[in-house]
Amino acid sequence: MAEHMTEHIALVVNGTPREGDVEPRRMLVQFLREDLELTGTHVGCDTSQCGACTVTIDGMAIKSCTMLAVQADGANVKTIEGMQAADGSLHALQEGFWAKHGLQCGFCTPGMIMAASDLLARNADPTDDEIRHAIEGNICRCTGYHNIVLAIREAASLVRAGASAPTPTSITA
Amino acid sequence: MIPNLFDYQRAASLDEALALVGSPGTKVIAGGMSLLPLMKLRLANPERLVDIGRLAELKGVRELPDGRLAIGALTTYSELAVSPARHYGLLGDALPDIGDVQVRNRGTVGGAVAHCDPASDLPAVLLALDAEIVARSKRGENVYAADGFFTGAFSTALAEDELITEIRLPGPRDDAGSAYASLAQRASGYSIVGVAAIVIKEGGSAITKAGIALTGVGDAPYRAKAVEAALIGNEGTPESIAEAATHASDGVTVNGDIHADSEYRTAMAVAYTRRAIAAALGRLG
Ligand SMILES: Cc1cc2nc3c(=O)[nH]c(=O)nc-3n(C[C@H](O)[C@H](O)[C@H](O)COP(=O)(O)OP(=O)(O)OC[C@H]3O[C@@H](n4cnc5c(N)ncnc54)[C@H](O)[C@@H]3O)c2cc1C
Ligand code: FES
Ligand code: FES
Repeated sequence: MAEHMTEHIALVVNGTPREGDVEPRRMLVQFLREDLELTGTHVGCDTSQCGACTVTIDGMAIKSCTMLAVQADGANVKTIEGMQAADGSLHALQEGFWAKHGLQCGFCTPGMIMAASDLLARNADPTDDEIRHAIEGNICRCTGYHNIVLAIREAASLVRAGASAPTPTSITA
Repeated sequence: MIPNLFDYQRAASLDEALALVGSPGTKVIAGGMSLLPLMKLRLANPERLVDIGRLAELKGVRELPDGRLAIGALTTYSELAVSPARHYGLLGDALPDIGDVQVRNRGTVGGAVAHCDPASDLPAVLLALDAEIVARSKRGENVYAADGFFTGAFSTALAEDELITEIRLPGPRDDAGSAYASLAQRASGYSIVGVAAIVIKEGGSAITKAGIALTGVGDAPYRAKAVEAALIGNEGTPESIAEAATHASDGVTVNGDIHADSEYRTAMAVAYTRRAIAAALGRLG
């Protein structure tokens, strides 16, 4: 087989321009986790079933285990690491998951939150059915979906109440 | 789960893509939602990927002067769901349940049609609507009728060197009602049986035209012509719909797998055909 080239890619991740040389077969999730060391994005199934690897591109949820890094060249990617504000205060979704016990082991949580962020961008006041529909591509093996739905509903009400206001709990990076 | 090595080329124009498609070992990639899982399992091992994902000329939905709707091959399910195409009752039914939001954000219409999964939902919709599939190659343009395009599991009438550029739907009409009804496999969401139905009443109270298509049932999505024939002249009473629906898998070798054996699938084909027709008629008022 002929020698295979790497491709140079440049994209914006969590607001910061990033670049890299990748084999064309490198998946976006590997680029994020291994090259950029953003390990908040998880790999659950590696077969586009579980949603643990969900990140957003221009606000739209995608499964980064099923997208080539070269396909994301030039894209605006957001991962769980980019959700908290610069001052370390949590995003409304992170608040919601904290307040409503939307996680146990936390493995699915980054993907759940990124999928939910796609929903909330389109629908500020989703019904429980709409929330369940929006996280259909995300599997949780321990919490069960009930509290996750409550968490996303809580986040939606926080956003509607004006999430730009400082929220009660905060972490420092 | 790492694909074999391959070379990558992003096509800057349709002509550039057409110059590359059809050469040995070459595959095009659009959203990658079908191709990448196969490559990760090394069931597909292209030597070169031609990325058509950025070709603006293949994106978007536009109305043609004669009222037909032209859907660019690279239009994603998510984009289609907010386009005028959503006003077709059967598309409005089918789109929200295809895959999940992440799949709908990446998966394209052209990819779904070219891939021709035996349980793919969109091909059934296109068959029922009598859609046209527009393809281009270096040799020129070729317009395929949906009926006859889906030739078998993962196989279509598309030539090796052709790319799908556009799907054309007939214009919406007031005397038509349509619906999509499907029985989804719980875990994967893929249709065990999916039925697209459109019924037309030109003037009187009887059905004058019908398009009924099934997916998940046979080797490839197909038009259920015996059901269509039984509906013509039919006033749409529950009994006559039920009778017509009994022909849902006439002449088809019905699939059986761990999720549904062929006997169950045959029964569900009838039941969901009945439901889809009734829902389509219900929308006609
Ligand atoms: C988790 C999951 C769930 C899914 N659930 C469903 C479901 O419920 N119902 C359903 O119907 N589908 C479902 N799908 C399948 C999905 O609809 C398809 O994977 C998707 O639409 C394919 O489009 P793509 O752009 O991603 O194609 P790609 O993966 O990029 O390409 C698929 C094939 O088509 C070829 N191709 C792509 N574009 C063109 C073109 N313009 N001209 C010629 N050839 C082309 C490629 O070479 C390749 O062979 C699911 C997929 C996943 C991963
Ligand atoms: S790791 Fe990507 S969907 Fe499971
Ligand atoms: S919290 Fe453990 S998988 Fe969801």
